[in-house]
Amino acid sequence: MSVIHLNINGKEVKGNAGQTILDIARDNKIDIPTMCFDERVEIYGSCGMCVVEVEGVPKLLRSCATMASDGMIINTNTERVKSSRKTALELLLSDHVGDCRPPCVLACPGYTDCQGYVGLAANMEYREGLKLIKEQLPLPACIGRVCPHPCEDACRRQLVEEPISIAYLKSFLADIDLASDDVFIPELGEPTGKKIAIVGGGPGGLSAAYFLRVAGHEVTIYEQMPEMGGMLRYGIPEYRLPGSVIDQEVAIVEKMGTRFVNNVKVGEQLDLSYIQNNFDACYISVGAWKSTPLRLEGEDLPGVIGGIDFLRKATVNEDMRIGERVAVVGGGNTAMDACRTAVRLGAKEVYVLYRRTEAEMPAELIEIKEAKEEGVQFKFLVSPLEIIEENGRAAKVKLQKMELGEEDASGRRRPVPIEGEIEYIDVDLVIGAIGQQSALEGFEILEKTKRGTIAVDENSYQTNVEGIFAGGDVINEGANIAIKAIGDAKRAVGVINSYLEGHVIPYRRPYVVERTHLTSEHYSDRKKEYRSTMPHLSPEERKNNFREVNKGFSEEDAVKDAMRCLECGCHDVFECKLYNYANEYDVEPEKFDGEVHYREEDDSHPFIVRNTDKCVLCGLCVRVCDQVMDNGALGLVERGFDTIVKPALDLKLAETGCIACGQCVSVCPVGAIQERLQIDKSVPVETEITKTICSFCSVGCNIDLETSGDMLYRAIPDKESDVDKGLLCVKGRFGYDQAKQKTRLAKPLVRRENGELGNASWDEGLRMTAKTMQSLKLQYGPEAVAVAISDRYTNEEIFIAKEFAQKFLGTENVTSFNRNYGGIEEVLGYDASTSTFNEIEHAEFILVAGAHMMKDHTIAALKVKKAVENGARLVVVNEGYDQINDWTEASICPDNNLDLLKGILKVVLDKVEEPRNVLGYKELKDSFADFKPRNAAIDIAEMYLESKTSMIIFDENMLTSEAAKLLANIAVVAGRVGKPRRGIIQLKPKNNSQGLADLGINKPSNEIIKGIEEGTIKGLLVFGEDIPLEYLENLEFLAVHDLYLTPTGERADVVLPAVSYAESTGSVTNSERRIQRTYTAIPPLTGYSNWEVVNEMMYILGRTSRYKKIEELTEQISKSVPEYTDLFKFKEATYWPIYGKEILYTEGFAFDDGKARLASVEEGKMFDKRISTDFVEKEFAKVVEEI
Amino acid sequence: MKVVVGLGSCGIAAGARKVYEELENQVNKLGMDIDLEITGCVGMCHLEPIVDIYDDEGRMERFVKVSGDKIVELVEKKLANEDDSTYRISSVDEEAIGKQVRIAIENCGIINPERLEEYIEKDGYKALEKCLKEMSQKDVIDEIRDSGLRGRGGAGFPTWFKWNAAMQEKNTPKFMVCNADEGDPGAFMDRSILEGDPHRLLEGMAIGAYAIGAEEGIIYVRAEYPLAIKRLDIAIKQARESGYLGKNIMGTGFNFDIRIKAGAGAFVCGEETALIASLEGERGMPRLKPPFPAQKGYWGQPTNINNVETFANVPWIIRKGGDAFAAYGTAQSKGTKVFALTGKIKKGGLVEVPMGMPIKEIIYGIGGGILNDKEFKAVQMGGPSGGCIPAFISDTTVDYESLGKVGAIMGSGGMVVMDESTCMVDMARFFLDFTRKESCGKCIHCRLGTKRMLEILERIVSGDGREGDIELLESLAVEVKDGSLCGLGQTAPNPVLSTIRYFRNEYEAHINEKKCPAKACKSLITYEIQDNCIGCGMCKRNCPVEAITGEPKLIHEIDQDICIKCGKCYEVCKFDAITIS
Repeated sequence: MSVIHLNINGKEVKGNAGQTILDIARDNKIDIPTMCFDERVEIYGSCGMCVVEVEGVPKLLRSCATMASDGMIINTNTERVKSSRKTALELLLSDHVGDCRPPCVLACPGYTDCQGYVGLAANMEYREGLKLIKEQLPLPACIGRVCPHPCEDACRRQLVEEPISIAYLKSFLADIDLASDDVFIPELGEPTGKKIAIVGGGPGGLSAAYFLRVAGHEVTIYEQMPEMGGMLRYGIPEYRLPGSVIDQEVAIVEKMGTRFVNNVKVGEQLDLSYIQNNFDACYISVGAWKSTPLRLEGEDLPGVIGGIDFLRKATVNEDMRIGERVAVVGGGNTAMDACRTAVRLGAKEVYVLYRRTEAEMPAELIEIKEAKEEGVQFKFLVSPLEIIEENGRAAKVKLQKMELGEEDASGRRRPVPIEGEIEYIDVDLVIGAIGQQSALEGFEILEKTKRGTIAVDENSYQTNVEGIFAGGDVINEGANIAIKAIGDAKRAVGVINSYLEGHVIPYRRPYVVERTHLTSEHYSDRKKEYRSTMPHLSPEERKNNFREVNKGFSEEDAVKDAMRCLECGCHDVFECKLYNYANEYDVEPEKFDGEVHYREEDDSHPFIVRNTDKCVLCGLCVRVCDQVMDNGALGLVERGFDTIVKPALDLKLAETGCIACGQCVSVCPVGAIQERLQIDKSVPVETEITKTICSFCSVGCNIDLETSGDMLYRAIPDKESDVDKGLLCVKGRFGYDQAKQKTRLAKPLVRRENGELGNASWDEGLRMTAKTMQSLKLQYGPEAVAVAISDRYTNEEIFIAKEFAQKFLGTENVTSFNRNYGGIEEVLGYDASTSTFNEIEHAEFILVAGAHMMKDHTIAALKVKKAVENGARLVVVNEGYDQINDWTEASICPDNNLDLLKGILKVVLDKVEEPRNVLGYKELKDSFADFKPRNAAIDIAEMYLESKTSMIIFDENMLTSEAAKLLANIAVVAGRVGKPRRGIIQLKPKNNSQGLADLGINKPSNEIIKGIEEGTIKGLLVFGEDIPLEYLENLEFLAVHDLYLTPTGERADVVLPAVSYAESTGSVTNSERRIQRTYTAIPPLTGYSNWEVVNEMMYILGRTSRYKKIEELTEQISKSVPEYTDLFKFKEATYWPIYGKEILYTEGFAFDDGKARLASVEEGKMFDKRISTDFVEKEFAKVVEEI
Repeated sequence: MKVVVGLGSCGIAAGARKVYEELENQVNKLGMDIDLEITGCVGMCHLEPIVDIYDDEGRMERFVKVSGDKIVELVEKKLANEDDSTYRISSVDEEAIGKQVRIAIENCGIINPERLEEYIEKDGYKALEKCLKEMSQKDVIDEIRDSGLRGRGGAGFPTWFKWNAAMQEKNTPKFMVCNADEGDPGAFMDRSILEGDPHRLLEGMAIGAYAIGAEEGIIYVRAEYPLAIKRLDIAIKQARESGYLGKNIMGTGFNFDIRIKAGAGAFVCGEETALIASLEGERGMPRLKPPFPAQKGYWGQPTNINNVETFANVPWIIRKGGDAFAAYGTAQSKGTKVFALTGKIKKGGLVEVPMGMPIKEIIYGIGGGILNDKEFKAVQMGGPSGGCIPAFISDTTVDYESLGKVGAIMGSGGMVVMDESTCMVDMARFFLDFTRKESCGKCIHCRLGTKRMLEILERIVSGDGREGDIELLESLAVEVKDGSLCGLGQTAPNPVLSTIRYFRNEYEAHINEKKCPAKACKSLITYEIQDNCIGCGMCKRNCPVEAITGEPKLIHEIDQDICIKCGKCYEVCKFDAITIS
């Protein structure tokens, strides 16, 4: 391939002729956006995102489709290019219906991921939920209790009945964390050496400290009060937010290494210039501590106090005279706090004086309700005119009666005085709670607003003084709710970080698409489920003390409430290309406002959720379905603006030819096609990814298992995978969730005296199993016990089970009921494929003899398809139909005998001379002397011989071993073994069937069956196999280790819970002898890994020490299996024989003399489909069957 | 005596079928002594039905707008040698034909398209014979190169170049495809050739096939052209029977056969890659180029695609030589071009003129000027992909280069003439509405951009235009052209851009003053009855929504709330008492 030189964005780069501009750019780490491009399908060029300018070419070129040529000078980011991309995005967004983020998140001034943590709570992933909250909000226990929750006001569940209790769920999650032994503390960044001063230890200052510490800066908070917490502590009464809760959350900020300096008021005890001189930056969040004056005559009298001052004094227990009659002026939450505190401080009559009516009150409804319950009297439509003095103190309030007039700018009706209507009330204390202001003495160098707050840039939080930032109640518009101060802090920290790095990057609110057209009609199919009620103290219990009124949700109520979430926000937000590009390109799609499509979609597919309102018509789903899977389940219909992707023939997707491979989901660049998550509550969250291997068939596809906490989120393909090239089948894509916690076995079961299986401890279960097996061995001899193990277990698990059987039970009876014994091994020496999967794609002729490849080994089948596309001839000999038949030159469905294969062998024997490296040639040839091959056999044999590179593929568990032997004979005699693109691929049933064979689990299972039948085998320990044997009752003892209570388990004496592949680390060997690593994505949910179960039993039976870690087992395998030598040294996948060639038998066959053993065969069957012993596989097959 | 009735689609629409049947009856029943023949469209569609009567010496006399009731009488008179000038074509109309140079449509309206003999008589298949027997593939391509023939489908790509590229490809089989998916509104050049001279196309294709080495030809013809399909079908059968198609043509060893594929009527299938997709049974959607069809076309094989008119020129060029063809036209645009004159023109129809003729000359010299002698405003050249050329530059000549310079294109040759009563904004809206409906939906810019542009135009014509809309249209138009994969999207904004270029004031009037200067946009006009109304009641009677009231002989009145602005009253008022404002 010739090297070409081009220049991209001023950088000289190299590429190969035949590569596209996009390929070369990507190889050189130059990012070009794409939407309709995917390596797995043919180039399409519809989206226009990848356009670039090439010098000398007037048109914009699509880099995905333009072959690079030597000397090209390319610019991927000119104004014209960016404008074209931006227009494309804006056009797409002008007809894109969805919620990138849910209304609750958008309404939250702190942008907390409400849907995320509510969803995690619903899935009982409490710690993950807490962690998610703390990404935005470090004080959830406090805020959950006091926040007026704009999130709930925006919650769409109101269109059904009531909003989700988002705020309570927040404190629910936080309380669990605070009560735990392992309170969450975020990871702190590498120390930056930068010092930041924070002025004000309230929610804003504490939050800023939290995020600055996460960024690695040194942080000092200066706080005027004796304790941290600010208004949370001094402005909110104890009965709503107990000081102990504040203490705990403040303690976390301190534990993170924040320096707290209390009782220092900056501007008074400490000059701002000191901070300027000694810190790299400063964040001011001092709040608004001054009550807004009532501006009345008599306001300065003793017995008149501001609301905030009153609450502070109550908190710090400062002396003040309450008296019997208290009047609170104002209708907000501070007024409610003041009146209810006054009740608790012993006032007999407490009035709230408000100039409008209850409907206009800004206070929360629950506060008003509870205040009333506590005896507070509300006087509406009154406005204080004067406070009248008696004896040097306030004694009366003169009230002007009001009525509601016209609406004002805020939409509320303006109160107007009713001429001459005056009223007087007697009071001992007047509390003015009509608002708050900041006190900014000592901050003179900072520019102020007309409101008297610090003027800051609303996106960068910068004041007029360099290095000084401010947020919260003290800036711009003034006092607001705590979460706003926290949101400011989080955003300001982002700006401060950029400032410290030398260039200020202001905060930019992400562009989101929102649905605004929804009404209760859209949710009319939802069942009404009202929110859980918060258990709380009765008025009598609470009115004379400061005990916390709310008792908090029970777990059951919390989960139930969280489950009500309507899941508004798009699940694709974390990976949506449209969302990411829209923000990158700063779109303004409003200018293209026009007709929008609202389309209802069928939502009945078990694994795939489609939403055409979000479709960008990149055609990837349609193309991948057609080109890669040879399935036309989806198609483009209609034209122009109304073009839409629909399932074939207007059917429901599940009713088309859809095989639920999920390829469409993986290629969709937006949220138009997504997987139906199999968790309890579908929730969009960012996940952790563990690279591991699919646990179903023996192709060994790589999957990226996404998890959140111990919740399996989904399995997605790995585009880098050499095995599957980013393609999975229905099993890999959707069968991942066998670790469903709720239905799985969690504890051992032991058969009790009543004959029933009952719960047992691990110790009891393990001891009973080990000891009973041991005693049976001692009683009847080692041949009386047997161990069976599933081929889904890892090499390490199989190894330790075998060790247990051989060394501690002394038996050679180690079998697997899922294995076929004999076959090609007898001819070639190994029970293994001679070639690798990737060779298939380039073979000239392929004979598939007994394999429903598309159904059972889909991804391997796609390699056959590729080969056919590359020009290979394909013949399929199968019992029944498989999609692979569609690609063939001929598909044959022979009688179930060996005649066809014998015929092929006969022709090969006749046409090919005796090979040098075989034994038994003459006997074989003689045994075929009189055999008359049929035409089909002759044709196949001729094609096989005509092609230089021809391969045979079969499914070990679909053919008899006699048939397999015939195939091996054919390949050996024809010389089609031991060279590239020639050989035999022997597909096996499970992810580690090959490893099972390699580790020598080769006691034929029929001998064990015979032993049980005849009663010579008394004890059987089964690892992970569901064996439908009728005579299991012959056994004296049966122990089963499995994920679920299987039919076999139900007949066992002991059932030990196993863990799934997602909880197992180790290695597995696929059908082409590729040894790959699996990793635990979630911790073993039962507490015991599979190998640990055996480890414990060995220890019980006298092993002096336990294996400490799984790696020791890998090392043992490396020593005991010659082909696996040094396996433990390889982190990456490797073929066996390690250090050998990827193709077997290049130097001779696996016998001492290097000669193959040609074997003659008797009459018999060709096909013998064996039923899997894997319970999970069988269960999943039933689900798939229904599609 | 021979009587030839024009039975093209235009003739049939004008009643020529009846003319023909009346005569046929006479011949059958009374044994009238005439040879009755049919022919295709001669191009003067406004004069249909046209009947040509040849005397025994072969002199032809042409009669136009012949009524079916009177045809027998006319022929009888002719048989009796009586002179009757009732239907005779005017000298002006005859002259109009004389100003043309007919190459592609030289036989149209002259020969019977259903009779191979008549084609042969006009030197039919001589060119093919010459190619097969005397010329190498390269000779043919050289001849075409010398002629300067460029693709007549729209883009004007040199024909020899495509042929040469396809010839160079080693891969076989190769395919020769004819694009007969004529989709531009107002264009019917290809249909006339298909209906009037189908063998001409077959011969052209066979020559091309020989040149590139193809053995299979496909004519992709719109299903909306049933008569064309029927005549093509007849022609293909005749050609096969006579050995002009099939195996071993004229004993030269050259094999070539043609089949017809009826398209599903999507405009975008005129785009060659979309056409190929459609031929393959896929959704008609353009594919990326490269690979070009010459490399990988139909089923991945080398494929050459030309349009009907291009092929129709080929036999002539081979017979008369490339130089003869190149003698017509301009430096870069050689030969002739067929145009379909429609719209507000007196003599609508097909004309074939040498490249380089001024538009004015075509409109006034051949087309007879503007209908009802109104003011000539502009002409839309090249259909929905083209642009408008305003009257003040109507001395622009019709050749690829000149048209490009003024923002229009040759296209397939549609010329829609507009007078003062055409609103240019509405005209742009009309064409954009067409293209956005025909967008295949593949590219974002085209699928959504044309839709949004249309919405902007719709709000402008309905009086809801906003400040900045013109600029938004302009910027979006540029983006749509830049961002679309195929010609449809790349040219869809042309009518908008060219009308903004020449008639920006009309856009501004709509947006700023909420007025339609052409008084065509319903939302922006009102019909009013003036004082000179004599109360005849015509308007009242013709109003479909009973918006007009008034006593006889008194001034009538229009209720503006009911009026749907259909303009019927305006049309029927004989006293100019109704005004539009």
